[in-house]
Amino acid sequence: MTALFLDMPEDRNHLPVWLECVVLSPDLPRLVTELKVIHGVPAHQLSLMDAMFGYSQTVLESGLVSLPPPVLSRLLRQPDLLPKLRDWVLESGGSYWDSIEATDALSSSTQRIVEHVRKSMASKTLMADRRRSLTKGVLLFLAMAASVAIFLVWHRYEVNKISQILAKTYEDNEQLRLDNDLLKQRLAPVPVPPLAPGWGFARREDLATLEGDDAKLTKLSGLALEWGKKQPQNSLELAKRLLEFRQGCSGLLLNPPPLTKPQQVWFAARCGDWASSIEQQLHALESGADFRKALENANSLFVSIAKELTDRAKAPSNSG
Amino acid sequence: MSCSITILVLSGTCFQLPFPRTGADFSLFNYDGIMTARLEPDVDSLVEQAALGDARSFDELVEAFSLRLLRFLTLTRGLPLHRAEDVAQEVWIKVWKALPRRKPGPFLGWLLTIARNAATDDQKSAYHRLVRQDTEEGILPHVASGETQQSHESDVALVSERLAACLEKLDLERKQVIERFAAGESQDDIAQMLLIPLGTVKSRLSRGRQDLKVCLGDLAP
Repeated sequence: MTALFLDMPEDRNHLPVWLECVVLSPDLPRLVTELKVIHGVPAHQLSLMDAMFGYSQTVLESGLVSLPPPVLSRLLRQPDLLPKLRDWVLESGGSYWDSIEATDALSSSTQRIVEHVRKSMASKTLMADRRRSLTKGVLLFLAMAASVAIFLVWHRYEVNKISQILAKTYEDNEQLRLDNDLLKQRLAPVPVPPLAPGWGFARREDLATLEGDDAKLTKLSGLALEWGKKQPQNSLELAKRLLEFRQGCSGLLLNPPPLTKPQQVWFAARCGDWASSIEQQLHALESGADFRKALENANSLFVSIAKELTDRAKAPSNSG
Repeated sequence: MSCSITILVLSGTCFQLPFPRTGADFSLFNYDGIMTARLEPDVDSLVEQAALGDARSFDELVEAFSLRLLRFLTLTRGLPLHRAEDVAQEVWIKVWKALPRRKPGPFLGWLLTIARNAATDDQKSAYHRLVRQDTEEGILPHVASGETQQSHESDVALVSERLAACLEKLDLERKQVIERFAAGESQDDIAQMLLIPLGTVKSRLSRGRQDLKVCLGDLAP
């Protein structure tokens, strides 16, 4: 057992070579410990590359001899860097680092490795392994090539098939679109002649100016009697008239007339009934009912609507 | 295959001269003050040939890189030499088998990656062997490498303690010179820095080293 640093050569030209030998020997941890005892822990820790100060490539290629003395001194004053230097040159260093003399044990061991590998190669076991490996490789390659070929054929087939399906789908879709357009055209609502501006319940604007429910109900009664101002001459005209009045009902149901709450509730209920009656008459008319009969029914309905409204206006509850 | 002569001179300048029709590079190193020449194999070419099944090229690779491999396994991966030797042999067999599938890149890095993995496997199996033995025999087996490591560490600790004590005892002037000497400074530089004659530096260094040797007793060389 020695204190290693005492072996440092006094001739500093020999120092790099001495240090390289220690760095690549199992004694390095001891030198590191000794140098730590001597120099203590440096105030500013440098990384290995910083400590090398631009000489890293030269060190890899031609060893520590290329380092200027101050750089070498930095490494010795921060000895923790020396194991890092060792790992770095072992993993990345050039062949220079293999020229550093090995211990007898290491040299013998190296020689044994070389001989063992030579023997293994000579026994042809490894060669056979390699041939097997190569054969396996070739077979693997062939298998992969075959797989790729099969895939390409299948892919081509499938792509054609998918293309055909897509084309067919497109054609069908196109046909569907055309049919749809046609259908839309057919289903387009028959143009309804513009409604006569405001008659019947549709002409409700005057209601707001009237005072009291009785006046308003009387006015509504009068509006219902407007039905009789123009008598339809055929089924189509009758249907149109009924629809127009029905539209007026909708207006009053959706936007109730300015009546008091009880009257409004009554009116809404009755107006709903009248609307239903109108719809029934329309349905009967569309189902082929006799025009004259239908007209009579309609006239009766509107007279009864007007009467109901007048009666309601005259009812004692409205006077108060 | 490109070949060249590489000459490294003291100034650090590198000359490369074409050297046709050889399979190797020659390098001259200023090694320990003496210019030495070594024949360096053209690694890329050897790897290429070995990958194609050339046993001779592979043999050259084994010869060129086995020392590096052993140093890596023992110093960096911490394997004892006898185990590192076995692992290195396994590594070369793996390398031979894997060479045809190797992706392009530096051979050394690839070799050491295989070695690193093999060392890890070896350490794992050594651990499992230890556990198995412990379970079967009910006692911890005798592990020479572990003991050696332990003994080595205690030696280092002993030197460390005694060296610290001896440095404390050392005369301050001699201690100053010893510290600078251990930092790699030349005697001329020490004389300049401490503003003392070179002869004084030599004398203090000599006596300081002597004092330390005596103090360290049987630890000293």
